Amino acid sequence: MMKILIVDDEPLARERLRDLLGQIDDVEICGEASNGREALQACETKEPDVVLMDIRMPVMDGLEAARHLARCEQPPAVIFVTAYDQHALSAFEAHAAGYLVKPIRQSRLQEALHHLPRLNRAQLVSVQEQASSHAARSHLCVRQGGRLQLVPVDEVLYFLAEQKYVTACLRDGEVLLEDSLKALEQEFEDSFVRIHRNALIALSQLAGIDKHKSGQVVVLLKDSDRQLEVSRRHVPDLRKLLRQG
Amino acid sequence: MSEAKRYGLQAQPDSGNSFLPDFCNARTVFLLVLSAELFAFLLVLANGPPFYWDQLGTLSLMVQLITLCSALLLCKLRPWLAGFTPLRAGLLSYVMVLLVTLLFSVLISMLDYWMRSGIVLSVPSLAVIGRDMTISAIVSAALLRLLYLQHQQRQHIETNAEARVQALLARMHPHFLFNSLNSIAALLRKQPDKAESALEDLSDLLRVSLNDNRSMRSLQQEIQLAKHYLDIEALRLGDRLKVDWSWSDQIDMNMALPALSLQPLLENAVYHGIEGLEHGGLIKVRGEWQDANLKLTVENPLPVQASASRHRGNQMAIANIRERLQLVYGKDASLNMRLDQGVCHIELLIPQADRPT
Repeated sequence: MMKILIVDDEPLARERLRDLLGQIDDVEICGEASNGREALQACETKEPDVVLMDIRMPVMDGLEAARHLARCEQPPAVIFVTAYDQHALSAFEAHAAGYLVKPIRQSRLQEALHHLPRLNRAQLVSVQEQASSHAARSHLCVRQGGRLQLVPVDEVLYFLAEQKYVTACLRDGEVLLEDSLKALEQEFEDSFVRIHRNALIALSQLAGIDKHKSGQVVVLLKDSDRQLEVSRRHVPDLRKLLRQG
Repeated sequence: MSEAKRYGLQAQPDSGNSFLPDFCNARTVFLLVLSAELFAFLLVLANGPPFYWDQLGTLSLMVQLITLCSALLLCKLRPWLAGFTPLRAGLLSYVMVLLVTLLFSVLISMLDYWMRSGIVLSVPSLAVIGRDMTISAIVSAALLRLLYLQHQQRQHIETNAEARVQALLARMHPHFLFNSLNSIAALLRKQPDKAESALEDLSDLLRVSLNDNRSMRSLQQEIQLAKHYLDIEALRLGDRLKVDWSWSDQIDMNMALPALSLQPLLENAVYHGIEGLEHGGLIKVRGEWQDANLKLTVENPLPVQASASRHRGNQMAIANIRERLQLVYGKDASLNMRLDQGVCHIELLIPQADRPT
């Protein structure tokens, strides 16, 4: 029996998939989700073999959810479903990945379930880049005590590299990440700025800069009392950002 | 003012495929005669000094005869020439002009000889005819080439202008079309009534979108169309899509506006706003009367993490509608968008005075 998770934000689209899957033998619908975030949570508990994943969804889109899923030890196969997305489709073609276009045909669905596509993480990143010209995640996916935790990137105040790990600091607490600070800087260049060899801060958090008596420049954050050190070569950039508001 | 003119598109005189201008046209003939005379003048000038007026006379006579006869031939044979490819038509015209030149070169040199010596029938000098033919060959080749280039350039401009208008025509978003078809497919078995009305709504939208939408429609019709559109989207989005309409009583529901002025604004609000929100949101549509203008405002919430690329798409859609309005109303209509605390406000002003009929 093949366990299938249906992910789409539109109830009617989910209903149609249910109808179609109902006519196929040896499949079982183990759950439904209405966005990428819910899909990740459902995958934790339901452990599906296959995820039928819509691309355009609120909160977290299908491409990003697939990217997070690919980090699992035994990731489910993901079949993307989309009404029309020229860029994403050409990216799938390039990687010979399976996808379905709406309205879905029964025969195509059956065929896709027989030849399950498996894209690795790097391929998914490349698809995402081609599809939306940038591949910044909306959420950070971390595992704490064996539990999956999703942290929206816009809740991160700053990233700090300490010894081996990178920490994402939030208003309430912090999480450890596997990513390098350099990779994070590249991915979130639109919303974060480097202030030190070991720190990136959210642009929306930038409140001002201050100079200590020792000559050390520190940055003031909107939602945290912590004062982070700014290295000398990043001071001019920060001043410019502050002037721009 | 006709609608076509308002859009800057005048019916093109049927020029066929030919790059040759219409030689029956008085203006063309006048320009041709003028250039021919200048050319004759140039030849005599180059021959001097001194300047021989009688030489100009003979030469003018010959050049004008060749020009006018060639023009007459090309004018009469235009329909016949139109059947050939531009290259063949060009070559045929070239040969024709050369034959005309040959005819007059022989006749005039005989006439010249007769006037000078009184001998009616003479054998014209080959050197003279050779000279005439060479000049004519060079000049008419240059002229044909010039006409050809001019024609190419004109065609290029026309295609560009047409492409521009085509690009601006509001078109149904494929994303919307396929999603709607998917909804209908889902409804067909269990709720055939809903599927049927969705198909009717979709057909209405498709009809207006596929029509040459350089046409004008009444505000009433535009609102109806927008409502059909929202009915279809409501199938997909369910409770997530809420719309609040309010229209001032002062508004004349029969006032004309360009087809698809309102629906794309709502499509924009759904595509860039409501669809990206987990719990959806409320679209507010307001119609007011302000200083002899119809003022339409559309407000919708935006997703928090509206990415830069999504925002660009939003602005492009708005810019497209703005350009279409400008084609009709010039500077009198305006369309402005501003983002304010996660809400997108769009304001459309359409003048009613001097309304197109």
